[in-house]
Amino acid sequence: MSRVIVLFSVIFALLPGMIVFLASFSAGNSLAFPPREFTLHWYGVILGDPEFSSALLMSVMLAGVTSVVATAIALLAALAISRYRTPTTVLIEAFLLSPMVVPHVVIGIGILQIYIIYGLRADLMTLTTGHLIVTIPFALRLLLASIAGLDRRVEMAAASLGAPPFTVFRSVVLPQMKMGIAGALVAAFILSFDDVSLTIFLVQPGYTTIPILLFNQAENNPGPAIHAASVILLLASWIAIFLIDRLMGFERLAFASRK
Amino acid sequence: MSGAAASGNEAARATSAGARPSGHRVRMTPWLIVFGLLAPALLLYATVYLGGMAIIGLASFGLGPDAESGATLANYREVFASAHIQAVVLRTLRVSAITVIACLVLGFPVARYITSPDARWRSFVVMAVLSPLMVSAIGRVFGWIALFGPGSWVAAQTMHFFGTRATGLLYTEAGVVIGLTNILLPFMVLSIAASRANLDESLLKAAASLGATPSAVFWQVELPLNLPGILGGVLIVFSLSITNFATAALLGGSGRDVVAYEIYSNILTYHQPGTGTALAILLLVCSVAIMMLAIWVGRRADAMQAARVET
Repeated sequence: MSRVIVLFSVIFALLPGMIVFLASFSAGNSLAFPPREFTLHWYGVILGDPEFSSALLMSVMLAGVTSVVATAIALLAALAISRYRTPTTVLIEAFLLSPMVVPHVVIGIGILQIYIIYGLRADLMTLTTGHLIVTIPFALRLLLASIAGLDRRVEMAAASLGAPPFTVFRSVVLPQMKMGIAGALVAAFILSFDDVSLTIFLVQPGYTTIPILLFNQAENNPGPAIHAASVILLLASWIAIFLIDRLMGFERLAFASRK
Repeated sequence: MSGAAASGNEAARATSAGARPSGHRVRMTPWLIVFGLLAPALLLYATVYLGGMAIIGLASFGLGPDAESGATLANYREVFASAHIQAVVLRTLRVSAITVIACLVLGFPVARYITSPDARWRSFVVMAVLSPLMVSAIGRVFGWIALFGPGSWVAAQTMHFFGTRATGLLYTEAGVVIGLTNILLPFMVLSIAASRANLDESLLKAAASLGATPSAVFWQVELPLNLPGILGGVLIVFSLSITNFATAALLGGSGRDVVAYEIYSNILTYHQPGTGTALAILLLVCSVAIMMLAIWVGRRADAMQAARVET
């Protein structure tokens, strides 16, 4: 019985992705599954659609900038928090991780209100700023876990041999954290790339991302081309999972990102 | 605030170090470095995140830059009085409760399997069941839409067996529960698996060797030992479920809103920031309280575990 439920859960977890994948090759004109004939037509449609390609470009730029900046800010914070454990830094750690437990919708409205007050419009910078708030906590979690795994005696040895703090950081700490940093970059990228519930408050025409485009089209009238677009999002996710599994082990990431 | 104190401290040290004949380089106080490292994150959080939430809080009480009158509870009164919002809240709670149960029923055996020592397909199961943590939620929603929607095989079968409308499960609460269970199952599995990692297997063997039937071992020994993980998972899944936006909105369809979507449409579609912000603050308070409870349960379980190991 227990094994049957495990098998069912595996199929259940993979099912929607599989269906989108198969349906994206469907020759039919509706979103129905299973497909009767197979074609690559919808990929041509979606890649030739200027609205889609500009959203794809926006999504990639947004996720790229967000992941680099979020990882950099989180790395600095992680060093401070892990190396100087005081009640204040423990409190700051909790504060910096707190967006994980705040509903994205609430964060989204808050940022929207701030932007309205300062008259800021949607652009790469304002969207990135919003995305930083929801990606920094995950990057910070992963980097703190990565730092916790380091052997501090190596740093102490370097310092006692006369290396100034920055040299210790650059040539001792940083190389050991390579995998953790790469994991944080990939995780932040994919979180930003897939976000709907925060981004929907911040986008404006001309600055739409792929998930928002899909969300709006699904609300109106989804055509089969939407499956091809979804497959592109799913492929990005699976590439990210593959990379993370190679870098730090997917399981470690899963447990580290646990709420 | 502390920055000024730290730099004052720093100046004092610098003079005393300079007076020393040893010729050592002046060392910055750690606090200055610590705040320097934390400054970008704190600055960003203070302006956008805390600032934004403060504005929502003020707006929900009728305060803010373009407020006409003093603080009022009118928005909250409206939220509690509105029959429409009551229906939305009830629907959200009902869907979330069923999702929690579904996640528990599926998640417990999975957590048990991936923590058992003789799991042959362990890494595959971990990868498959936990992948929804990273795999695009919006991308997968269209899988359910295709599967549940009109003209699909599932729609034909539900029509055949239950005689419901040909839309199948799309735009029904059952469809929303299936979609939510699909994204939130990993959180239940992780919570239970983490608590099982420090489960002493010999206790189960001891119970069995003392003559307990397999079902007695499960209900009287294994389940109570897993309770912290289960409770943590239940709270986390419930909290994520009541705050879910995209999956519930797309699978529920119009007229079957959940709280998060109601907030969104109040603010962006109907331009009623009063109700929207009041509802947002209520959702925030509930979800944060539930998450705090989950964290507290986890800490307590760890403390109990540590106490057991020591004795």
